[in-house]
Amino acid sequence: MDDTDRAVRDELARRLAVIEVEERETPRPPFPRGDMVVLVAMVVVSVVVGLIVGLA
Amino acid sequence: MAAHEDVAREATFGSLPVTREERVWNFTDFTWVNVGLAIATWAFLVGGATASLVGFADGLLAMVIGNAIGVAIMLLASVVASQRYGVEQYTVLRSVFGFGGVALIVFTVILFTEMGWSSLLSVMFGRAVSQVSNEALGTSIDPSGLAVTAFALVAIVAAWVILAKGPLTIRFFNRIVAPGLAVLTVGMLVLIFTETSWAQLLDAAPLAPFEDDRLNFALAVEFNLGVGFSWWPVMGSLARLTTTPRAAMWPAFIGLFGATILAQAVGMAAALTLGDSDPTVWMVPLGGAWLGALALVFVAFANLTSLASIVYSTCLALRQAGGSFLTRVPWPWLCAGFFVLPGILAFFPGLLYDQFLLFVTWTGAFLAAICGTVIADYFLLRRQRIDLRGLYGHGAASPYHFTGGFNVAALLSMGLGALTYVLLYNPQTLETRPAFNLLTASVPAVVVAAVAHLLLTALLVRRAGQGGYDAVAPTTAAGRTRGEQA
Repeated sequence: MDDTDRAVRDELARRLAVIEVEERETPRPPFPRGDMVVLVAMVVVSVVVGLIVGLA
Repeated sequence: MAAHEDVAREATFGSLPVTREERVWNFTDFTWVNVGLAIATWAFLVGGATASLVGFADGLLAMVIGNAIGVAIMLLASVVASQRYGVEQYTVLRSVFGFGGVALIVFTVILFTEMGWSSLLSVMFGRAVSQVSNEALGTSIDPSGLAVTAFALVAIVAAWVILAKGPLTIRFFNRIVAPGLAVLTVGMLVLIFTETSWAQLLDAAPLAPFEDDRLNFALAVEFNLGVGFSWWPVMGSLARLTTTPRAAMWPAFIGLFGATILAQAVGMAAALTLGDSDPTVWMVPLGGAWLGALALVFVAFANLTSLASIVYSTCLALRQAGGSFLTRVPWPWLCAGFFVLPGILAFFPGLLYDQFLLFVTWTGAFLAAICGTVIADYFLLRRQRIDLRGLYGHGAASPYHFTGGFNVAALLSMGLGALTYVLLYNPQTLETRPAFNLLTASVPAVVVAAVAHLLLTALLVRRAGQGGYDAVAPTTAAGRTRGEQA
């Protein structure tokens, strides 16, 4: 293991430790369901419009 | 920090997760990042290529439908996980394809895609400079002539110099180019409508359509779907720096859907009114000799920064996927190695530039299949939870080791998705099935890849106890929120 590998390993360990503390204090939320519904609705509307135009 | 230190630091530590204090982009910041990314010279290329198939009204509809679907699917497959875990997407992908599987994808699909884009941008630079020379010096350089090759090679060398200086230099140039291209786009719009009425624009015939109108429209939608998917290789790495899921998703959608449509529509209008799909041909007829030449010089310069930006993110991905061997290759040499194929392609200026539609749809076939596989894995199988420590584990110590570093289920699913695409629409032969006119090829490719991944994971991976699908250690996964527990 050279100096670079060692530096990366140490930095990774430090960051994972910091993130674990952050997660315990305030967990990062998943992608909001409401936003997902809006996004999927936009895709569905686009597909429907595409189908109507394609059929026409 | 000196520029070379900045590059070295990014290349060495770029794959590590970012902490909360390092997440610096809020909703407004990330909107500008994406608008800058979207209003680039490639938007004019897309507008011109769409105009070769359909008229303005159908083209606008195809752009809206194709980009809405393509960008939404692409963002779900890139931005969401990277934002939550603060990890660039090629590291997140280890949970889907395994360590070796990611390397396989990066060294095939991603490398081919980004080398193709690099070739396109360098040839566009060459043609823009040739047009300036023809106008200002009275030369008559052919669009596929040796001079274009020479200028394209100059672009590659210049981009390499910018890259070697590091991301700070790229950021500096982008701050000039992004607002400049926005001004250029608005200027083109004004000039088009001073010469052409709305009715004339709507009546303008497509430049090189096929006989079947429905096929033309379906191809235009498919092409724009491919354009939407083509953002996938770079988005996750950007989104990890945003503060919230909403600050990642919607600015990306506003930029890559809204701003892109605007720039593409202006490009399409210019192509239809001037009768040529090549953006480097538009500027002089639109702006006159001097203004046109000035615009072309700016387009050439803008291509350099776009070229440097995409090669920078790709070389970082190569370095992270290439293991210890590529980590030891000096950054300038790695970038130089990347440019070898685009350099060779510069000797055939028309190969990709005049077959732009073909290139985008081929890459779209694989990117759509990758997106379908990733969405099924992250949202349906893992319920948005990844073992962060496992992403950095070595060998069998990581749950994402799968079979010798490869998740066979995910790779097969990706292959089946791409095969579905080619069965519905073969970009090479232009052969299509009747279903293509209604369903396109990308959407079924996404669905087939996703369903195949769900089934194959149940059959091959979960039974073998691989992949960490059944348990995510509470101390290393992102903590469960109330919404998830419910």
